[in-house]
Amino acid sequence: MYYLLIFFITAAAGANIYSPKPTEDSVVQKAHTPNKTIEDTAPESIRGIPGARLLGNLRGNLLTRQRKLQARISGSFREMEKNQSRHLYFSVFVLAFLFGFFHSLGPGHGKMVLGAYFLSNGARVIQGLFAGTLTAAVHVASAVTIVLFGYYSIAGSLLATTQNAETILQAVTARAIILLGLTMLAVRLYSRVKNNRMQTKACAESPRSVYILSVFTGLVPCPGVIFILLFSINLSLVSLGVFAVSGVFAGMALGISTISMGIIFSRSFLTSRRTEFFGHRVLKNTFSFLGIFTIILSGILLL
Amino acid sequence: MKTASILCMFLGYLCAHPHVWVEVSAGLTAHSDTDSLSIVWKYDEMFSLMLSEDFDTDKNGVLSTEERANLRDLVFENLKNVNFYMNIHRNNAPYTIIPEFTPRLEGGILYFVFTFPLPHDTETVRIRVIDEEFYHSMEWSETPLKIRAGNDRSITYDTEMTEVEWFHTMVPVTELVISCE
Repeated sequence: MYYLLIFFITAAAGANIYSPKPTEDSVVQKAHTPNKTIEDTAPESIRGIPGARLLGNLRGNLLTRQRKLQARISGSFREMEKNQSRHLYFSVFVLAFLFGFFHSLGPGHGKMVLGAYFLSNGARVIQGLFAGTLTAAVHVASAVTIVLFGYYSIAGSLLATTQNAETILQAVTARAIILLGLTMLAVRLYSRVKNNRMQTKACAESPRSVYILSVFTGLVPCPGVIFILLFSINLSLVSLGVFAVSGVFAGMALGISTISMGIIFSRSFLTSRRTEFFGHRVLKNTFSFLGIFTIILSGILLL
Repeated sequence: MKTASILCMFLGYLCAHPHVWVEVSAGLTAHSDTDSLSIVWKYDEMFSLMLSEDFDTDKNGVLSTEERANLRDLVFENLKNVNFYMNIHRNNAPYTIIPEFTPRLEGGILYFVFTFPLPHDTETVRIRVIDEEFYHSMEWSETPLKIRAGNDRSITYDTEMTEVEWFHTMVPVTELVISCE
């Protein structure tokens, strides 16, 4: 699912966007140098890994799109400053929505943790939608809180306040994720030892734990939202800033939810008895523990 | 090994991702004894505002000598530790000169200018600009090189795609290659 999503986005992006295009009236003459290929540059350890280049390209592509969108958002704010036009609210919302969507597809934003949870437990597709939306909501709300607190209550550097808050919240998030992962592992192992399948099922189907996980993964504030809000406050365009932040939230919610739902659907398809997929029980058990270990590793990496 | 690599590749998606966008350009200025190469980082408007809130203390939209010094004190040592996010090779050898650093604020946009001396025996310069922790997203501008004064030598440039490894993915990076004859 993830690869499929990557493929479509990369394909939609079209031609190479990394090489700058010098203008014809440039004062220097352009020479030709052949481009290097991955075979020239890739370390031995990753040659042949499926998706290594695709993910890298996707990442670069998403960054370029975000840079252009952010520039257009700040341009719209400047335009609003000059001539108050209501249609700019709509265009800022759309631009911010796209920015939030592309931003959420990049690294971070709790996709790995949520995905690992759903890989391990399975769930209804609607739970993926709720969990993704909750993660995005907490992610944005955390940023808004920091801006309101930092801008209106603290006289010192806002940049320093933001960085400190990020460090503290990331530490809290990391520990909470590790704790949740270890708890899941302990319950899973205990039920294995006792051969109590009912308990495993009860644990797997409890929706509360995924929402707790969503809240903790979303706690680290989104600097993108912080920058947009500060920009709007500085230009005295707070209402437009609120529209922009709503757009970022909606885009992020769509991005995180889509990936969560894709993982739930894929797991459900692969492990369903109806598909009679060869070895689906083995796959189910593998997913169960792989997901838990990924959650714990994710927490460790965030420390 | 391959499984571990794939796991690392996905775990990389947990990590830092840029919120700061930098457009990079280079300039060559000819002098009688030595040329100079300046590399200019142009920050995005939102991050520029964030930094100027802290450093443009008199809020007049430009950085005074004192404000520039304050900014330099804060960022220069940190940037020095990461080699200014720049990997420069002159005549196919690493060029590790500490540049002169000048920040400036113009029209609400923050610029960092790094100036390197460039001896006349320079034949090629290869510049890669990348924050490998990916807090900054750095891209070359559409016109990556400008010659700022007359130069009797023939100077050509090209941009070349290469890739760096980041959590077992290959991230595309553009290098600017300048050839002087």
